[in-house]
Amino acid sequence: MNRTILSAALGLALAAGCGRHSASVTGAADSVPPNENAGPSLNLRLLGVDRGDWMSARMRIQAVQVKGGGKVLADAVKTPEVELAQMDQAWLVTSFPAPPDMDDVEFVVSFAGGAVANGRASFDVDARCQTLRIAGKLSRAAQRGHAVIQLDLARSFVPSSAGMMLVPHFQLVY
Amino acid sequence: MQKSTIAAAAAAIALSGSAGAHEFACEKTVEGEIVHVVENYPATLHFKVVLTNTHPTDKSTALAVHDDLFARLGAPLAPVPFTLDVGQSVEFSTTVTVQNDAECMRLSRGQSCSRSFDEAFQVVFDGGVAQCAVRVVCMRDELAGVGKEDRP
Repeated sequence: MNRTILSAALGLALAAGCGRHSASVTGAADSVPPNENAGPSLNLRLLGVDRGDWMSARMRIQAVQVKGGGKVLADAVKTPEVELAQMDQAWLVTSFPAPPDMDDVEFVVSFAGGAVANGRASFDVDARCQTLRIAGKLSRAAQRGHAVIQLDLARSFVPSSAGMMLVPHFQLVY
Repeated sequence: MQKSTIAAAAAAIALSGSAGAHEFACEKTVEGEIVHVVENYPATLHFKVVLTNTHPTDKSTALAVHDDLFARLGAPLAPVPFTLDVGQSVEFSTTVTVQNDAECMRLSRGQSCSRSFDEAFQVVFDGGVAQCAVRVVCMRDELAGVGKEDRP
């Protein structure tokens, strides 16, 4: 009995452990049209970390691409708007196949804009120029079924004389 | 084994990450800021990157480091792979002088937008990728030298 409980507990822990993120992975629908030749379907997710003073950080995702082998593997935005201050939520950005003969991919995410708010005021975010370009490994993403972009909210939204700017500080983890 | 012990063991594993994990954090600044507005020309811009191993107990190995601006200016980053001890940091820096707004914008090599551009540093390691960035805003020459109080 105890061994069964232990095994189950450790299994759950291992499933949640790698990459040091444990946010919920709900969001938009996870379903992807099946393509048996394309390998398993994986998810690209976006999670806010280190909220700082921000009580809200709503960002609109303009476009996403997962590219590999000279092809676009996925470009469907699954969640057009995300509340990154909800730090227990890893938002689904897109789902993509993992072709068996491919490992190196590039994740490209751009934002249409957004708004952040602290307890005193809210600000529109200038994100027009922002495109996240991140090299990824399908083999690593396949281990847990996803790659997660952890956007550092405290450091990424920067007030300046030119307005509130998104200057992306992030980690990609698997 | 008590349930509480089991739960504690599971929680510890969940929080510990994978064995032999690598973790980095980086900070990049231009003139000591994350967003720097160039208002007067010529302007000398000091870019600095500090890369730190943030793993609590293990060394971390960088498999690749990228910084387009450093590359264009011929500023060397460390040969890869390289390993940092717990808490150890390495610093990279470079300086460039721009004579006018056109030169300022040319630093961006075509990725400029709204008279500003981002310069990112990325480190690739076994556990993923970390990025830090700065934004440079290149004001027009005709505004340079005009007092802020006189601006529209």
